[in-house]
Amino acid sequence: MSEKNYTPVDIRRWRTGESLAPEKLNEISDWMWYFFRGNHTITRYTPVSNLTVPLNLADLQIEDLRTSLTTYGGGVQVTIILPACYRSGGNSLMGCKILIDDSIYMSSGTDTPISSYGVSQWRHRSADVGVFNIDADYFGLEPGPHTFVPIVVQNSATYTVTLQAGFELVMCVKEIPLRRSGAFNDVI
Amino acid sequence: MTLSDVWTTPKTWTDSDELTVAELNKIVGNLNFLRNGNYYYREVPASASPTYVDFIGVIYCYTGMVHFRYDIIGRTPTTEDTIDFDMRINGNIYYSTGTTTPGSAWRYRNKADDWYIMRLEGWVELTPGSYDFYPYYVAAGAGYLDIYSGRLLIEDFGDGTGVPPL
Repeated sequence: MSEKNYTPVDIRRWRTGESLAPEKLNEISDWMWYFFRGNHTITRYTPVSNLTVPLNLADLQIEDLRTSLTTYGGGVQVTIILPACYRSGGNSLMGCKILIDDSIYMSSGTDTPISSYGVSQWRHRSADVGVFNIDADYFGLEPGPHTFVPIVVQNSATYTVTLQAGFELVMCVKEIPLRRSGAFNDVI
Repeated sequence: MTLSDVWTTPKTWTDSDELTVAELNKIVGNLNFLRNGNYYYREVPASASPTYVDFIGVIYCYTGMVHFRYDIIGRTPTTEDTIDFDMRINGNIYYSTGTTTPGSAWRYRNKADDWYIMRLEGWVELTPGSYDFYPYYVAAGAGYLDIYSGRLLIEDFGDGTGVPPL
């Protein structure tokens, strides 16, 4: 598993006699604007025909949801919504892998996923239709542009899972600004 | 909660600007806004065969993007059935179609009398303003939905264009 520790930085404190230059005020304003607006991307794709998830844990890489996001030192939260997964035949396990920069699996931080099912797993019963929601956080990214693409798998050797046509698939990739221990000033 | 005009017209200070008490209060006010967030949350009570107006939520969206998440624990008690869900916004527009006609944004087909966790989640782009949200569902057959409990969260999500100062 990828691990990354961050060193806390000192909170900016003004001292008596120090000038308050416009650049410092603008920096405050810019940081607030960043937190207000957020840094994320949302991609949507509505298949016109059913997407079949292959047998035996083979990958269905959903290229139509591929997206990129430039991060600024924080982690990412990836949310994927597959709104109508139909299971035929017997039961099976579904999973979702998330591939970053076409080389790193989100579950492991390496070029090999931590399991065949990736970051999330769902046991799907025969003839059920359900919404497969995937939420995963990753904190091992260097600042810069990154690509993200989801991969869906299922383990049956006989029966299929389909992502039904006409339902919008959605993926949101959101930067999580670095979280460091701290407390709010009383005056805020 | 109100929003100071720092956000709609980002302030750029110059050497000739005076740092007034009013400007400082805008900074503090907006920091408070960021700390508290801008969201609506409510518990959804247990209900047998509810109507969608039971769980309405309202939010003022400043940024143009709303994220909603509606989680329920529910069942179709008497028969296996397919239930299609949508989200109705401001009383007339449906999330899945963008029109006044409901569609199918999420679909569950549940075994009779089994309890399921059902999540309806999405993002919708809106012009800044006040909006109400309420889930809408329709059963394909004779089944109906029982809700054991649930939660509705609506949050002002930001338009995603934020870039921090380097």
